[in-house]
Amino acid sequence: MEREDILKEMGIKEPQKEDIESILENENVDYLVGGKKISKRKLLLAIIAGTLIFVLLISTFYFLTNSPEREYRDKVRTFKKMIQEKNLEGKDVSNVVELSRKAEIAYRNEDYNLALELIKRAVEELRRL
Amino acid sequence: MKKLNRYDLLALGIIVVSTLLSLKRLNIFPVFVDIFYHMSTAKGFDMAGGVVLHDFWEFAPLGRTHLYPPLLHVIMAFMYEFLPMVTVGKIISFIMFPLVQLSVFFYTREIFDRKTAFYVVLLITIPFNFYRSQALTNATSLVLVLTPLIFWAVEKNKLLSSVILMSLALYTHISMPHIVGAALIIYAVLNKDKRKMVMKTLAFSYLLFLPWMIHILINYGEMTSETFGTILQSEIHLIPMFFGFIGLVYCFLKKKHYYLPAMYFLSMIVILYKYPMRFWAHIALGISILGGISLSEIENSILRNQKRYGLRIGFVVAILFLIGFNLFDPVFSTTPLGNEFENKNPTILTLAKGNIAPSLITQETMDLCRIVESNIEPDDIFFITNPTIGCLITSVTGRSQMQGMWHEVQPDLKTPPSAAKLFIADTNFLNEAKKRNPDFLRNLTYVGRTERYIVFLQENKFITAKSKIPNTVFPKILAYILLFLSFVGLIIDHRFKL
Repeated sequence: MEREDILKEMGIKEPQKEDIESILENENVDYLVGGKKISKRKLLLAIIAGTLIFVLLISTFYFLTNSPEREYRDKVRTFKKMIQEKNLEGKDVSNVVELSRKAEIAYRNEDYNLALELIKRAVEELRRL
Repeated sequence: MKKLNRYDLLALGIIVVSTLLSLKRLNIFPVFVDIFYHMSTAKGFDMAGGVVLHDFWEFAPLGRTHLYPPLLHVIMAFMYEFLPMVTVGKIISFIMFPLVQLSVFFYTREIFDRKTAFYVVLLITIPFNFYRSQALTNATSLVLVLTPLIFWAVEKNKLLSSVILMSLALYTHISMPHIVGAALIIYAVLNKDKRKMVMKTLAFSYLLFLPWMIHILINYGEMTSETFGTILQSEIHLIPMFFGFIGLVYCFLKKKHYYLPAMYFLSMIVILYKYPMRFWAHIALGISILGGISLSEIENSILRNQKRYGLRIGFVVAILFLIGFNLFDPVFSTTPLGNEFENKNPTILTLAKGNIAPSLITQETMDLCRIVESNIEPDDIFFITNPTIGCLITSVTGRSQMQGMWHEVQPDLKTPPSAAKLFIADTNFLNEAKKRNPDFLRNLTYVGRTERYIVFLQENKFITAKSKIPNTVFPKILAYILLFLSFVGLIIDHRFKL
């Protein structure tokens, strides 16, 4: 916004040149400085367009990631990480092994919902150990 | 410099509160994991007496080409002249978040306005994954600290400052500064008023960066093209992202200097290709600037005509946002990592609650350092099954390790662990190795243990290798002087309006 527009917005018609800086300092109007002045309609356009981009991004990610097959693979990664990090010496891991084995069989049979449920239980069991 | 107003006080209040809470949680610093690489590199520079082009502290005894730009390590080596390395690591890890808050506050306040600066500081403080990444990815964090200052210098036509800051960024990280460069180039295409300034800044700073760039290009073949994480490992903080996208469109409509943050955000998308996991954390800088601009403008457009109470209502709205955003941070996540990344609270709330994993610097790792130091000579090499802990041991003891971090650069050859003077294995590894080869512990003498690690000394003197320190290409005293001169240059440029 140009200087004249700023002054107009502030209701000041003919201020002294040296006053301008101090006026801008004292009032909360520094937001008026710089950039092209845009109308409320264009701001509304920005809000609508920005919201659309946002919704598009989130929904894209939601649909891309919301499959039990992908979630299963992610859970397996978590499971493997936990196995590496946990000290399982002397602990009974037979139930965990059994659950993960069944999950893998279900995954191979393309029953992804069952595979996911089983691996989730295996992770929970592992957490408890 | 503009006088402080109440929006400045709110913004500075956020910075002070988050910094004080970080101080209260000092036990989380240095945040796992990159800092240990940087600490060991700084220690390596200190031992060599300056910048070297070959890592001798990792992948010993052969080492590997050192391609990591050296600025952060020079700063850390300088601090190490006065402080222990662990303290240096803590400070570097701790300081990056308040520094980026301050630098982005400075840029948006000076180039846009004080209300925008407040909203930007508010939005950048919300995502805990950004806080964590600032403490974790130290070199990138330093580039993110420098970026708003580079933008400020370009907008204010301060050529000396912009060249110094851009050069510092280039000497800090191997890829992040080029994103800043790309943003500036697109900005120059769109805003002809800044074309000359941007071209001069980039030409001079890349000229200054030429020596290291040639070194990188000569050894480019040693870098791996590995991708870290997948594009779908996302953690999207909905509030900053929502307002950020509105700001993105708004900046295109507003034009002039509003183009630059928009171009920076768009340039950052490149990170998705190589480091998808990091993208969602680093993007907070770009998205917060855009979000701050849009929040401020929406508020202005609603309240600007309310002559009598407009300013007062605006301030109340700002305080409500301040409280609300610091209590509630909805996150869309597809990152089931099963660790502390799963934290979904805003930064301030997380720090206040304190549910954060403590640092890797514990009694156990310090005990491990003492065992290493007391059992081998400075030029002896140790092997440890966890190279991250290895970097920590190197940074404290100065002993070189046989493995290493920063796997983007691979050594030509790796030496077998049997050539190490000291062998440190975690209990799981040891049990597995003993099962596979019962003779595994032959020639190894037990010298000590901690909770998770057991330490052995290699008895066969004829097969143990030694670490050799290469010649420096730039003495540390010259590096310190250059660093000092760059700060002097910035002050002179700012004070005397060159």
